[in-house]
Amino acid sequence: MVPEALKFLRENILERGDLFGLDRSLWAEGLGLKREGRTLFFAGCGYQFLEPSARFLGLAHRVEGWGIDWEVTWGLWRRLRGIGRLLVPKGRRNPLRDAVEVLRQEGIDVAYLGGREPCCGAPLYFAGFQGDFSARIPKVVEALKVSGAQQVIGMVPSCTYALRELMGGVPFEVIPFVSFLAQKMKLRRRLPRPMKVTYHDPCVLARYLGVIEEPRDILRSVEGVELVEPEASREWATCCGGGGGFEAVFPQVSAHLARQRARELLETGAEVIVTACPGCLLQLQGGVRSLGARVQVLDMGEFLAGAELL
Amino acid sequence: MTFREYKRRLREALKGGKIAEAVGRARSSYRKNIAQALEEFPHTLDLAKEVRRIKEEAISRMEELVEEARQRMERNHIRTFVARTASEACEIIASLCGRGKVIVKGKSLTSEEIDLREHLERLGNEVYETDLGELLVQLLRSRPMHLLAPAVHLTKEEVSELLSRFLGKEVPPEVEAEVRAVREFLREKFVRADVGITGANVVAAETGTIVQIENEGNVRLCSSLPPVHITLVGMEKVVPRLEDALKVAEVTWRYANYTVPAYVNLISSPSKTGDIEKVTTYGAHGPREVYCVFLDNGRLELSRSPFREALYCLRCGGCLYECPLFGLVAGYFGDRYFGGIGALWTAFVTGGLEDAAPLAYSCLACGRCKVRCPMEIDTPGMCLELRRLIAEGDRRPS
Repeated sequence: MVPEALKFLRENILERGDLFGLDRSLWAEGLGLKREGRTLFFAGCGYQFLEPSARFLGLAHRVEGWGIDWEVTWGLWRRLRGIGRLLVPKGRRNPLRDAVEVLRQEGIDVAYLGGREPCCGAPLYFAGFQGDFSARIPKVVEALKVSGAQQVIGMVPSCTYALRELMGGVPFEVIPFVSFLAQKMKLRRRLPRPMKVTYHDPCVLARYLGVIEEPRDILRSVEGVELVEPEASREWATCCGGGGGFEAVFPQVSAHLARQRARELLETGAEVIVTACPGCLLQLQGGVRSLGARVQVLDMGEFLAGAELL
Repeated sequence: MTFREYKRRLREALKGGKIAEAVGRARSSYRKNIAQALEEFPHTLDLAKEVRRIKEEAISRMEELVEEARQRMERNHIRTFVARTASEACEIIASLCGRGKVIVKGKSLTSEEIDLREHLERLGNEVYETDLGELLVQLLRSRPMHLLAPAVHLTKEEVSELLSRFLGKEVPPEVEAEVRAVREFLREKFVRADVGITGANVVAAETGTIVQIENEGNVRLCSSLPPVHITLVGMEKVVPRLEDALKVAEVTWRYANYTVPAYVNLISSPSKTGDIEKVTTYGAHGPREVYCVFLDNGRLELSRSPFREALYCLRCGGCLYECPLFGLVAGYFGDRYFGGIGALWTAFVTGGLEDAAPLAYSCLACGRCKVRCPMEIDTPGMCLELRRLIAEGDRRPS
C-alpha cells in the first residue's frame, strides 16, 4: 500500500544516508567552511540536492504526462542501483552558498559537516516510516554533536522541525535560518530600484514552527523593498503543492498546485517572489515557468546576497 | 480503490479545471462569510474551545451517553436502535419503512456512509433526496462532493441542463428559477411521503433531543409531514446536556457558513397532544412514530484508538475549503467523507486501511485545515500516523 516513490526515498536514506545517496557537499566547494564550531550550518538534503530533485521531479512529471504509470516506473528505478549518478549536480550555484555568504557579510562564521552531515530523516517521518525515523535519531544527534555546536541553524524548514520538535529534545539549540538572521542582521541592504516583493510562507515554517514575522522583517529591512502580501498568507498561506512527499507520489497534481500558488503570488504584482524552503522554491519556480511569467523566485539567501544586482 | 484507479480519478477531476473553478468560487465566498460571521459573533472562538472540551468528554464516554440518550428517548416515546454495522443499520431502517413506500430524505452524510438510499430503492421504495444539492447529486447518479455543499462542483448552467432533462421542461440557468423548479417538484413528494428520514447534527442525552440545523426547510418537512420519522445518527454525535448540544450546534452552523441558520429543529418525541382530558395522545400534526437509529460502524473502536480526535469532527466542512487538493478535485479526494479527515473516516469507519491508503498519501500535511477547524483537529498529524500504520503496522516506534 506504500507508494513506490516513498519506498525509494526510504531505501536511499536507510542504505545510503540521504535522499539521493549522492555527494552532498559539492555546493560548499571552495567556501573553506570549517568542520567544528559553536554555530553549525545544517544544510539539509532539500537544498544540497536541489538540482537532482528538480531533474527527478521534472522527469516524474513528464513520465506521467506521457500517460506512463509513474508508480511502475518508480518501482523499476528502485531496482536500478546507480541511477543517482545521472542526477549528479553540475552547477555550483546554490542558495546555500548565498546563505553562507550573507552570514559572513554579517560577520558570522558557521561550521558545516560536509559529507558527514547526516540526513535528519524528516522525509521518513512524513512518509509514515516513523519507526525508521526514530531508530535513526541517536545516530543523527551523535553526528551533529561531533561539531561541538551549541547552536544549529536549520536551512530546510522540515529538517528544522524534525530536529527541534520530533527528536525528543536535542542537546543544542535549533533555529531556522530566517529567525537566526532576523536576530543578527545589522547590514542595511539596498535594491538598485524600488521593487514589489512578495513572500511565500512555507507550510512547515509558518504553521508548524510559527515563523511568520521574521522573514517579513528581513525583507522590509532591505531598502527599496515594497512588501506585498498575497490574499492567502501567513498562517493561511496556500501550500506550494510539494509537501510530505506528495510531489513524488502525485507529480501532475503537484504541478497543478504549484501553478495555482504561483498564480496567487503573481496576483500581488510582485516582481520577485521570495521563500525560504527548497521544496517551495522548486515548486514555485516550476509554477511561475508554466504560467510563462517573468518573475524571479528566489530563496531568502539568494535574494539578500544578490539584492544589489536585481 | 487501488492507487492506480485513484490517480486516474484525480486526472479526470483535473480535466478542464471546472471543479477547481467552482470550488474556488465557493472558497472565496466561504472565507468572506466566515470572517464576517466571526466579526459579528466574536464569542464563537471561545465557544469553539468549550465545544472541544464537550466533545472530548463526550467521546470518552460515548457508549454510556448513547445508552443514556436511548433510555430518555424511549421514555419520550421515540423507539431507538443501535446498529453495529452499516448493513445492520440499513436492515433496521428498511424494516421500519417496508416496501413500495414513498420516502423523503433530508441531507445526511451518515446515510451516505451506509448507502441507505440505494438499499431502500432496491427494496422497491421511491426515495427522494430533498436537499437541493443532494437532489442534484441524486439526479446525476454520482456522489456528493462536499460535506455541506454536495453539488459544490456544479455550475448553474450545468444545473439548468440537468433539471431541464429530468423534469422534461425548460429550466433557465438562473439560480432562482432552478430553486423554484425543485420546490414545485418536491412539494407533492413531501405530502405523499410515508416516511421521512433525516440525520442529526447533535443529540442531547439528558433530554433525548435530536438537533438539526438547516436552511432550506426541507428537513423540517421530512421530520414533521410524513407519519413516520426516522433519524439516523452516528454515535459520536451524542453530548451530555441540551445546553451542550446547543453550543455544539452554534459552532457547527457558524463554521458551516450559516452565520444564523434559518431553522434549528429540536425533536424530543413524536407529535402529541393532551388537550382532551389531559390524556397524552401521540400523532397530532407531526409524525405518530419517531425512530432513532444510532450507528456504531467502527466509531466505538475509533473512540478508543489514538485517532479518536477524528470523532470530534462537527462536519462543518470548513477544512475542505482550506485543503489545496480538495480545491482542485473536490470530493474525488475522499470516499464517503472527504479531505484529510475523510482519509481517517475511510480507514476506520467506511472502509479499511487499504481504501484509505491513497487518501492518506494525498494529504499534503500543509496544516491549513487545522488552522480553520473549530475543534483544532490535528488531521495532518493523524494522516501521518495513518501512513505509519500502513507502512509499519501496529509496531510502535522504539
